[in-house]
Amino acid sequence: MNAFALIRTLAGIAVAGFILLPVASVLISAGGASPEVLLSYEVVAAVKLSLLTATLSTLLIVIIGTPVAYHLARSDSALRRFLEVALNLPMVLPPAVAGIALLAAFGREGILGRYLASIGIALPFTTTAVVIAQTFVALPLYVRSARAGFASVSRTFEGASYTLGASEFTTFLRVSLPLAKSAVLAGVIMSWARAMGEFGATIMFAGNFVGRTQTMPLAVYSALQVSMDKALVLAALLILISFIILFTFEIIPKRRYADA
Amino acid sequence: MLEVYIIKRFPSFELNVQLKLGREVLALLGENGSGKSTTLKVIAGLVTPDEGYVRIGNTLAFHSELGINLPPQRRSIGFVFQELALFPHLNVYENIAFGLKVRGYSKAKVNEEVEAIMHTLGLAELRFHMPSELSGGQKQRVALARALVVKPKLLLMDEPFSALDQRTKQEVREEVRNILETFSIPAIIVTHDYEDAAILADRICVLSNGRIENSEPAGAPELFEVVST
Repeated sequence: MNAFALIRTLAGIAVAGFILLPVASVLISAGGASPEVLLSYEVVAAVKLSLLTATLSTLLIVIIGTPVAYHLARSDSALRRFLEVALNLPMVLPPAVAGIALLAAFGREGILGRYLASIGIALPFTTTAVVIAQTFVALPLYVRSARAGFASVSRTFEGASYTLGASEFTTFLRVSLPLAKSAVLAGVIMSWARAMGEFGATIMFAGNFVGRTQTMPLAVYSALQVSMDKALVLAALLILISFIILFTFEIIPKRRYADA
Repeated sequence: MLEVYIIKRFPSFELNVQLKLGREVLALLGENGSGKSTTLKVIAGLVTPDEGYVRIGNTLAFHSELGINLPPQRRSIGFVFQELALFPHLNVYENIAFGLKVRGYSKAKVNEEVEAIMHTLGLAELRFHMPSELSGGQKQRVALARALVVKPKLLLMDEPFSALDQRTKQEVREEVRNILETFSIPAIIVTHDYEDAAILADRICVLSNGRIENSEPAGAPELFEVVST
């Protein structure tokens, strides 16, 4: 074995160990925690809230993100460039900044929030705020993936569909979407995972109230100050969920249709 | 049947085509980049010209001055693409049924029409095959069946044999000729191959640098000179 190959092998082992050791440590330590911790009110509430909010925000993301992704893949309008920049922003912003930005917009004194408050709608520190924060940070991930999927569908298929009498919408549903399916599904999973893990924007904009806005990542942070056991159990649950997500992502058929 | 006068400007090229089609098969013959495929797409409504008009039967499909521009869905044209563009996620039956289903026909009606055309074109055995499992000639027949089953007024075929090897090509060309006869539908076939044109078409138009150079009954020997120079 030459020196370079040795370095590569050692680096590989180091990286795997560096990532797997802390993860394994959480799982091992959490295994020692008492079962009551797992069923404690805070833990159960956090798991329920996380699953609910991440699923709701992913639904919202798919509903508003899919037409946007298709538009980005197909249009050359000025709107496209503008959207491009707007969509990249949440990905480079630190989550805490995203949280402040959401407060500045939708907070009680916010640019839009003060009008919402005047008609009796208060968003901050509600479960709705959690969904908004998750949507804000996870939307770009979905749009990027779905957009790449739509862009890879040859326009000739759409042209063929039009000449056969299908409207643009029917063509989208029956041709473009099925052909972009794996990228769209990948986007769904990535944005759901991002929403599950959201911390910074949520704690700033939605606060940290058990059962209302305390999602699993927030609960880990809170639990750490009281009981290491509880924090470990929550962390272990998040790791398991992440693992299931990654595994699902792996087994989605990455079907590439042969040019037909 | 069809009357076309169109101008479409590109940065380094101008397409300026005038042609009339009766109840016949016309071959549009030309080199790569002569504008033949674009002409077909303009007729089908997939590309919008800058000026001119397109009349299909009694329907004015495009008229720049009158501001008429029917979408492809409303032009009643069957289009067979160079890549064939069979939907890769649908099987043979579903591909052929596509145009009927989107018209909202009943299941029974769709089934009846699809079965009939599959029978005529010898595709019945292949109904559950995916496009990727078909030979070049079979794909061509499915593409034709899909285009013809909705009973278009006019059939357009863009380089129908370019993806086939020489041996298959002769066989498929013969099939296409029989199909065109069976359905007796007016058609324009775009090709760069004089032999295709001579075998399939009643009349040949030569397109060169975006303009129709020559229009003669098929088989005129001097045409070959025009193309090869």
